[in-house]
Amino acid sequence: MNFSDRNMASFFVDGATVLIVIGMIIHTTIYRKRNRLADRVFFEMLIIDICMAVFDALVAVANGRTFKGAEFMNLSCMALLYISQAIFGLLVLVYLLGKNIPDEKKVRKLIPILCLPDLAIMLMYLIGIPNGYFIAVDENNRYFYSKLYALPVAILCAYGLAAFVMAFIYRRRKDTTRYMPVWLYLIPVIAMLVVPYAFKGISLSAIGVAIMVAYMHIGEMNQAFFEEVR
Amino acid sequence: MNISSDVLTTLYAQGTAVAFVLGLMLLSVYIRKRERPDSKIFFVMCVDCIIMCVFLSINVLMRYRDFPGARLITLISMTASELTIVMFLLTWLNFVDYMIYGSNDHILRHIKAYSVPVFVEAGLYLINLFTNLVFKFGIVFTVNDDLIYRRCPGFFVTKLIEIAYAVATIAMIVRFRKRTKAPVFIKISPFMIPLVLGSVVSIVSDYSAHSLGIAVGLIMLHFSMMDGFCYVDERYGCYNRAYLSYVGNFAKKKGISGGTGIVFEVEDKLKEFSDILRDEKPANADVVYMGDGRFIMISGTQRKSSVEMLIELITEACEENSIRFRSTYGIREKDEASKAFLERLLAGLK
Repeated sequence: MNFSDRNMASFFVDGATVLIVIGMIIHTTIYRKRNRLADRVFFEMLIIDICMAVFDALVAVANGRTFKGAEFMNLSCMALLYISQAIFGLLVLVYLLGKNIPDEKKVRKLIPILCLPDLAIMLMYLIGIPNGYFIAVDENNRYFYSKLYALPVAILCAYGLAAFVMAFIYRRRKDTTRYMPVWLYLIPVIAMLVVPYAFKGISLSAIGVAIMVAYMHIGEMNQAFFEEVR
Repeated sequence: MNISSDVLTTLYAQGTAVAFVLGLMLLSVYIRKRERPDSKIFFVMCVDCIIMCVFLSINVLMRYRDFPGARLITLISMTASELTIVMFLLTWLNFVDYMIYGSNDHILRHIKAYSVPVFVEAGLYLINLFTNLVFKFGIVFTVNDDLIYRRCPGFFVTKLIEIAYAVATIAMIVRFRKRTKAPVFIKISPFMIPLVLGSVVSIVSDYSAHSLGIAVGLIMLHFSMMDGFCYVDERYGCYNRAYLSYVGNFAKKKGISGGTGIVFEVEDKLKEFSDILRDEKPANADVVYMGDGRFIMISGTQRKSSVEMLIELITEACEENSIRFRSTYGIREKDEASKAFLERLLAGLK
């Protein structure tokens, strides 16, 4: 396959991400048996991260190449990648709610409301990407961001901000500080989103998310370290 | 700064590895507390991995560079990165040793034998550094004035030493699994699969992914170990009651019958008593805290004389620490359910 250097590097990073997350899925089986909301959401986050890595790798295959259907592949995978990111943002918020609010029923009631911004992002990408409102491709099938791209990103950032606010609200809870330094979870994702802008070309969002979920699981295991499994 | 794609990707791989390991060190209670000897060794492995990432990053940053001293920096950095790899393998061997035998004394008895290959490899690398700097030829690897790296015959000796460490740990775990019927929470695959994948990627491509493989291996190893720690009673360092039902299911699944149980009851100095039990117990036995000052030691089927001798040893150790306890023991019959056996044991204490 005739890859450009940067696309090959993205492909390598995404492959590593998929392997890491599959390993995590295998090792977290014991926790899913507890049938808690947060555990199920955590599993969904892992699946979404695999989707992100796969779509990102497909974008790396299609980007800058001109085979038949490459443009459609580039744009559709791009749309699916950003939709996956939006779903991931929602899942992080639900996970944190599930960890901080003891009553799962209350959290379940909140989920439809939390889904609304996500639905808005999905609609935006599904309508906007084929029309070039958010992301478009040039004559060499290389993608670039349009000005309206800031809109769905702003909604996605709102999820991150909500997570920060929640971390602040629940900061005094003893178990929260012991098991869940939320600010630490968000650092890898933010770093992996910002760092590629400095060099351009290699997408690190999926691996950033993999590091984040690994941190989350370490926090989860700290809790398991102290509580008895029955 | 104009950075080529292979350099950039390798730097990202090192950054990711550091992010994984640093997160593990900062977040994991097990590593942060470092109360247990195995957590101390795990901490050393994490630190070693980060140092390895630093040297591998320097190695890759020196690619395509041309300034006075670049060759010297490359040689020193490459030597140091190779030494961190073999040091890591030695620490990993000690870690597996502790996880299996649960004894510092066992490590101390074998540390000299374990360390000999490291000294051989370190000697080879130091001679290699000297010959490269003075005579511009190497016995393990050589770097010429254009910073082009070339392997020499000694390279394969060092790799054989590293493979020998990996094989030794696998053999240790497999041998222990064959010998004991108890569940073993330390697994080979979570650590070895990422390590091998990282090495393969490094060999077949321009990307250096050893440290990423090791970092992911450490994370996976931590995950698999923590599955076992769910069953550890943190106060006394022995297993909790949940372990009994786990081990019961495990025995049922594997078709293991029989076994021996000794129940102890103490009124005070529970921590000291727990330490004595863990020191005196045979390698294939486990100690479980049942609550209300009751401990149970479970193992495979043993002869009555062996059990009585063990109780005698524990009694002697307790007398030195002025600990009083009551005990009873029982041998599980072939068709006896684990729950019924436990009830029989506890009834014997009344």
